[in-house]
Amino acid sequence: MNAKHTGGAPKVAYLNARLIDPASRLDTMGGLLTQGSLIQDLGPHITAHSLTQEWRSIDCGGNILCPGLIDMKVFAGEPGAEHKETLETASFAASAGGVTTFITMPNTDPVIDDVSLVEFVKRHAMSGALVNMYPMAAATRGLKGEAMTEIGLMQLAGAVAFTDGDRAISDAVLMRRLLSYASRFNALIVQHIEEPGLAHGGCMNEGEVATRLGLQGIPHAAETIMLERDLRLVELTGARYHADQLSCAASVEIMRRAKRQGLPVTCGLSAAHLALNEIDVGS
Amino acid sequence: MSSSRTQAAIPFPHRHLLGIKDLSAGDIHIVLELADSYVELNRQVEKKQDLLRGRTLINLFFEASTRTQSSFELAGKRLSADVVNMPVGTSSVRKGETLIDTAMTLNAMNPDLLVVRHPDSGAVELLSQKVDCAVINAGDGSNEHPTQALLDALTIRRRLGRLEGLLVAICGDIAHSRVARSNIYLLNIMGARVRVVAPPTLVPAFIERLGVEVHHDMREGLRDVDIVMMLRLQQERMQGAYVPSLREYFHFHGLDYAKLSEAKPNALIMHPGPMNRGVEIDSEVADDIDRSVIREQVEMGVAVRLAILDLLSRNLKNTSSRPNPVQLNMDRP
Repeated sequence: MNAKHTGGAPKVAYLNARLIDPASRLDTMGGLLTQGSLIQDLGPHITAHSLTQEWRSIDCGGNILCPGLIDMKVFAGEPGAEHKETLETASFAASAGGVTTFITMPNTDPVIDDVSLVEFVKRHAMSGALVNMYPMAAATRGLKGEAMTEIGLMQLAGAVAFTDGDRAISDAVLMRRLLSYASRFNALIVQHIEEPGLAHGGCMNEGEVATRLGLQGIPHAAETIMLERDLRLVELTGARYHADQLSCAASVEIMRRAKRQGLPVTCGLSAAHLALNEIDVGS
Repeated sequence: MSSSRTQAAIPFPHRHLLGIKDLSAGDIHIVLELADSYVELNRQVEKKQDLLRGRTLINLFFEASTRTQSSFELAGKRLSADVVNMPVGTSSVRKGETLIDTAMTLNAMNPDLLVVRHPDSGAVELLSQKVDCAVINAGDGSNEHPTQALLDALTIRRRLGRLEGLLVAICGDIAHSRVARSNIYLLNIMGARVRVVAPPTLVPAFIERLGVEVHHDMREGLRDVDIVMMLRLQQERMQGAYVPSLREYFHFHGLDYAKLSEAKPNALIMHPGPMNRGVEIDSEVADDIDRSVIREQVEMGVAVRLAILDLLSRNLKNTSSRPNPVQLNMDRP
C-alpha cells in the first residue's frame, strides 16, 4: 500500500465490475485500482469519472471481480491418465474458471503415497502450471485403508493435507492412530464421510425418488455415522480434521456442534449439493 | 514375615519382587548398595558364593529372552543355586487356568525361587499368589520389568553418583513398554525427573498421571537431559499401524548426533536391548565409547539379579535351619 514502493509501477483501473469479497462481506458494483501487484483501492466510488489520466482502465462489463478461488479437491489426470488431462492442462482450465490455487487429490495412478510422488507433483507445480498447485497425499498406503503413509516426510516434501480421496478411512482404530500421528505434525486429515457398508451399492439419496426409480439409495446415516465417529476421534486426539463434501442437513448440524465445542474441524461441500437435490436425478 | 531370618540383617520386607511399584526409596537403595558390591564379585576370577547352596531356582520364561534369562541363570549359579530353565513353548501356553495349573505343577517340585516372564500384564503376580516360593518378575506384558529398572538405576548411579535431580528422557515405544513403566516408577521414587518422548501413537493415554512430561518432538524432549534412554521398537509396529515406516521413524525419532546435541554435553545413552541399529538408534551413537553405557547395563544386570536373589533368599522359609538329609524310614509297613 506504500506509494513510495510502487511509484513507478503501472497503474490499472478495473471498472464496471461486480466486486465480491466474502471476507469483508462485500458485494457491490464498482471499480478496483492496482499499482503493480498491489491493490490500492476498491469500491463503488471508483468509476471512470473518478480517475485521472495516469490510470489505464479496463471495462469489466459487469462481470464478477473477486479474490482467486481455491479448489481444494481436484482430481487431475496426471499421473496415470495423461490422455484425459495433465497437471498443466488442469491449470489452464483452473485459470479460465477463476481458480488461482488448487489442491490435487492423491487417487491417481500411481497413488500419491510416497515422498518421491509428492515431489513429482510439486515439480510440475513449479514449472508449467499457470496457477498455484499443491498436492494432497494419501493418508493410507495405496488408499487401501490399512497402513498409514509417511505423513511427516511427505509434509516436509510439500504435501498440504492427507486423504484417501473418495474412499472413506473406515477402520476406526486406523483412523484414531492416523489422527493421533498426524497431530504431532499438525497435519490436516481430510475424510470422505461415508460409512462404506451402509453406502455400498448406493448411487443416490435414499428416499421416495430412489424407490420410484428403482435405484439403490444411501441413507443419511451413512454420512452422519462416519462424521460423528470421526469427531469423537478428533476429540480424543486433537488432530486437525476436514470433513469433505457434506450432503445433508443433519451433517451441518453435527459440524456446527463440533465447532461450538472448539474442535479443530472444518467441512466442505460441493456446488452440486447446494444447487441440486434428488429430484434432479429423475428429471 | 513370621519366619526366622537369621541372615536378614538387612531389612528388605518383600517375599517377591513383582514390580517397582511395591518398593520404597529405602528398598531401592538397599538393592543398589548390595548390587554395587556384587559388581566386584562378578569381576573376580572366583565368582562362586555359597549363599544359595541347596536352593532351587527355576527360570520360567513364557516369552523368548536372551539376556534376562542368562543373567538370572548366571546369578543363580554364582550363588550356588541349582538352576533349571523350564522350556515353555509360547504356543502351548494359555492364560487363566492353564497358567495356574503350571504354577501348581511347579510348586509341587518345591522350588525356592521362581523367575517368570509372561506376555500378559499381571500374570506373574497371579502366579505368585499360587506358589510357596519367592517369585521374581522378569517382565510381564506391558506392566513391569523391575530388575531392568534397577540395573538402569545402578548404571546411572555408578556413572553420575546419584539419581536425585537428574532429568531423564525415555524415548520410543512407551505404550508397549514394561521397561518404560518400571523406570518411570523408579526414577520418580528416587527423585529424578522423567520425560517420555514418542510419536502420539506410542504414548499411552494419561501417562502424565504417572508423573512424566510428554514430548512428541524429539529435539524438544532431549533438551538438557542427563540421560537418554532409548526403547526398542518392534518391527511389527513400524508397518503403518503405529508408525508409517522405519525411515520416517528414524528421521523423526531415531537417536542420532543431531538430536542428541540438544541433551547435556555428557548425557549418557542407554538401551535395554536388543537394539535395532538404524531404527531407534544410530549405529555410531550406540557405539559411542564415552557416552553409550549399553554394554555396562548388561554387566549391571547380573549384579542386580545377584542382589535380588540374595535379598529374597533371606526372607525364604526355613532360612535358618539346614535342610535335613532324607532318611529312609524302615519302620513303615
